[in-house]
Amino acid sequence: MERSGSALLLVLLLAFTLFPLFWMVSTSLKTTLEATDLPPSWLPLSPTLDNYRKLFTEREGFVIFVQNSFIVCAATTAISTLLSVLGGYALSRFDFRLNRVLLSIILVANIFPMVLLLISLYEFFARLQLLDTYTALVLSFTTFALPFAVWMMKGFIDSVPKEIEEAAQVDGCSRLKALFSVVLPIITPGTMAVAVFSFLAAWNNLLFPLALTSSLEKRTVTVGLVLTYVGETQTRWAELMAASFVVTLPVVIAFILVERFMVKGLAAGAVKG
Amino acid sequence: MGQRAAASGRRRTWRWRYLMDLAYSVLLLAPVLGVLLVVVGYPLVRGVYFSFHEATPFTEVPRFVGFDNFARLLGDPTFHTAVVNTLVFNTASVVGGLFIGFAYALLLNRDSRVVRLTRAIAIMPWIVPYVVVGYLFLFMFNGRMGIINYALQQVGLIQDFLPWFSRGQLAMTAVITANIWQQYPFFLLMLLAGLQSVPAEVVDAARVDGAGSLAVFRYVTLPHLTGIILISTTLMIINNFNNFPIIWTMTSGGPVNATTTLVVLVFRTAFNDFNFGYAAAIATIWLASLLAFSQIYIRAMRGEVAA
Repeated sequence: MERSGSALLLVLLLAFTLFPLFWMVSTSLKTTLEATDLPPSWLPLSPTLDNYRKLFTEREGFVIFVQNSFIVCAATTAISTLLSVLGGYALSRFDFRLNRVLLSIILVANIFPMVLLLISLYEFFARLQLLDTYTALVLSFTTFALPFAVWMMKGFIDSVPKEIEEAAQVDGCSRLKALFSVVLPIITPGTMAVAVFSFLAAWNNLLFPLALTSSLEKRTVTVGLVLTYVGETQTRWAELMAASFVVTLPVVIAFILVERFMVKGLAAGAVKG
Repeated sequence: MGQRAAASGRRRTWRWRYLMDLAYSVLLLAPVLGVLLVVVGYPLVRGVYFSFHEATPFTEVPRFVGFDNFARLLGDPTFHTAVVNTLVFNTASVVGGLFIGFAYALLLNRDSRVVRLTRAIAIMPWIVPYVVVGYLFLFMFNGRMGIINYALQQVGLIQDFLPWFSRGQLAMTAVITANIWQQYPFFLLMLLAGLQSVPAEVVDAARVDGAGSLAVFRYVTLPHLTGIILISTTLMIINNFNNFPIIWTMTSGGPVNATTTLVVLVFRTAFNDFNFGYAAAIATIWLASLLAFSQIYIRAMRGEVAA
């Protein structure tokens, strides 16, 4: 009785999880007309890849948006991962007052209203004539990517026993060299998780590029979706669902690569007891 | 004599080592500190500065107005609506997400190939970009041909299609549903990690003492999870304050202001009305109220609550 109850609940939950995803893919394979038909067809009557073809041919914009997002997110990822290895190491290994204060500040930075920072950043970039540039996007993405990256990295480095480096230092290795040749190889999975996290957070962000870009040439995918497919009078649903699927795909691939480590990193802080 | 010299020598090397460590630490932290000063520190201070000024993106020098912006806020009905909406959106999302995440976690707290696969599937919504989640649910809740209306009608729960996005409470429901779908996996992950760390001996001991499954859950499992529930809830509450894309893509805060949360209101005030001072004042109030909780938050994040 209890078992079949659990099974039923699990089926219901899985339906809730999977239906929206199924509906996205199914709709993306329909024609524009069929996508809004009533009664709806569960599966496309004659599946077509037309919407996907349109994304990459007719609507040139989409290719630009994807490109922009890749460039900006890769730069954000590189900066926050590199800096977080250095900073995370210092926060993990040294217990100076400055370090403790900085760690608190980094944690509190997550509380700050991003939109408040955006107001000032907008003015800042406007004065430097940097609005509508990759630089502005990368710097503003660092706002949320870096603090979390440093905090995660500190957690990963905490899990590496100090004795390992001490042994290396006795062998005449300098501290910095010990970091790169001894600690870094051990925490490669952690570093990957931090990189993927930074990439995802940047890839997902809508708030910053919506305010900081104005031309089509600099739009990221999120802004591209908002400003291209959703019209005042009519939304091109089939195309929008195809675009949504393409935007989701890189994220899913990146996630599958590091899922194990990412979950571990997230839970590491929480499950100490 | 010799002994004392050796001791002072040791002290000197000790001090030398301390200084070297300090230098290393500062050197390693300098880049992080530098970047954070530019992209977080400065904007934060400047933002609070704006809240005491009248400013647009185009004004050369903001005009000091003291507490005028804050005084205006108190009597602004839109601000009040936004505060209430933020609380409703936030509470409902967190409660819903926690509930679904918990149910999943309890069902998937086993280890087999099937369970691992199911777990991977259950986590999927978490990685779907917010904007995509927004449009997906906008499509499904569509008032003219949405699949949700169609399903509800087929089951007999409604007679006519509901205009989800032109009635305030319905719009809020749609937005919250989308948000719960996106964020329950976070609760699932955290709670699963917690469940797996419940010591088996304690559970066995309770069983031997004659405790049923419900009693084990109530007196062993649940107390063990309190810390994790507190941490994940705190994190998600903060996260939801900043949750912009789902609401923006689905309703942009409408109809009228029925789904306008603080973040939407600040964005519109700053970038549609170009009223930087007033927008900054709203955000400053929000910041101040969250900072009040920051002590609990910091302790939770450092794992002190869990341990």
